[in-house]
Amino acid sequence: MSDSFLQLGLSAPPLNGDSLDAELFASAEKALVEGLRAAREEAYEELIQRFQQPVYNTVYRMLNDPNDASDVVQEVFFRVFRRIHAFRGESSLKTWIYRIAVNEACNRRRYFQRHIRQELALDAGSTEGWNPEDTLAVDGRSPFDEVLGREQHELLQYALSRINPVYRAAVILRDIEELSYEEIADVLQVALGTVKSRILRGREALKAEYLQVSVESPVLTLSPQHAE
Amino acid sequence: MGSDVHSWRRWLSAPRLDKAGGAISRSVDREENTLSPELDHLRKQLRGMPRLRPSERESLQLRILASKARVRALRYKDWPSTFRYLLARFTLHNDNLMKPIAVPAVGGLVAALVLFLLLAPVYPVRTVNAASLDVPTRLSTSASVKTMASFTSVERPVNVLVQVNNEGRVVGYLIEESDDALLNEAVRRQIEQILLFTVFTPATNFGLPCAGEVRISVDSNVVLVQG
Repeated sequence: MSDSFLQLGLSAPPLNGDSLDAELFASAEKALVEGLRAAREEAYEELIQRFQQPVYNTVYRMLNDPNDASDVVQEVFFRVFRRIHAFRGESSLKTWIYRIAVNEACNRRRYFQRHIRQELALDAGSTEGWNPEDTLAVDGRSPFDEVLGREQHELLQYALSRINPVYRAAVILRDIEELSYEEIADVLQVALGTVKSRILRGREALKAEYLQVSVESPVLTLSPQHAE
Repeated sequence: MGSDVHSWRRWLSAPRLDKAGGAISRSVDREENTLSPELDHLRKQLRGMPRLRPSERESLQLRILASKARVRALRYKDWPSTFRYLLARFTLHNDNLMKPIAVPAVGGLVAALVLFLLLAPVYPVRTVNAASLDVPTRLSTSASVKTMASFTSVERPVNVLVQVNNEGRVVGYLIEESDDALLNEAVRRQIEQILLFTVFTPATNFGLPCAGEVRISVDSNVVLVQG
């Protein structure tokens, strides 16, 4: 394991405002890019471990379809692997990958709207990816809170899928992926003021949609009965 | 070395850990702190949404994709690698495709060659006279003599300019050079008999026959066509 990006010996997170940490982070990212260009197996593994989940999460939130999200994630990483030599380092690797993911998700959504509006997945309901830990998670919450939170998240996801895709991307990147404004501007390739405007309008639109969806199908429907 | 890997991974995943803890935010903006309670609640709900993870099968597919991409990157890494790959591909094709068909191909070629050598000497070869098939491509041609009547002759050489119509018939003639042809009735009759039984090819203009002239020289025993 003689790779330079693995021998940096870094331990401190680059979030404490120290310029030295930022430089080390940049050098680590550069080493990762160099490892990818040199086709080192460790670099590929690290890239997947680092970015597969956030890319999947972002794409899923934008498309609201697990099958499409899986396909788009494959496309995103395929493009990253193929185009890593064209990465000039003008932006960070993270924003570059997010940019590809957002663009691919938008392309997928347009293609879906044009061609396959009504398509049923054959493996819907498949338990292949089922993990017992998903249902046996113990985090101290009661079953009621668990169900309530899940219903709220589903409604929120549904409301999220109904707002303008331009605003949706900005809100997802900011409030779910928690990217900074500068990073979002880099991902979406718009000005910083535009990012703030989109996020604000997206939140307002999401709030309106969420309220409407909550009225149409409330989270819990109580049916009081007389005690016997 | 394991600790290096661990520290590097921990460092890269640091933003996610901090976010989960909620202690540090990468971007502190004043707009975020002045949100309305409803929007702030909505933002908290969004941040509280579960982190979706791809299934094991999707992760495996992605690793397969990465493996293929890595092999491809190594294949075209530089010119020697590309050359080695192409050479290996050629060797593979040569071993698996060319060798199995080499014996049948050579056998067929040899059989065809032997048959050709056996049959070539006995095969009748026709020669074609290309000159006989030549068709003039000129736009206009002059009249010419097709067949000449040779049963009569004159005593002295006479040059005659014959006028031929578009059907190849003689419509008139002019004795250009002679000593006493105009005065000798017998000679004139002999010339007229020669012209009467002579077949002319009419002149043509753009492929259509038209009237023309042909100059012939009648001697005592030969008739020369002068053009």
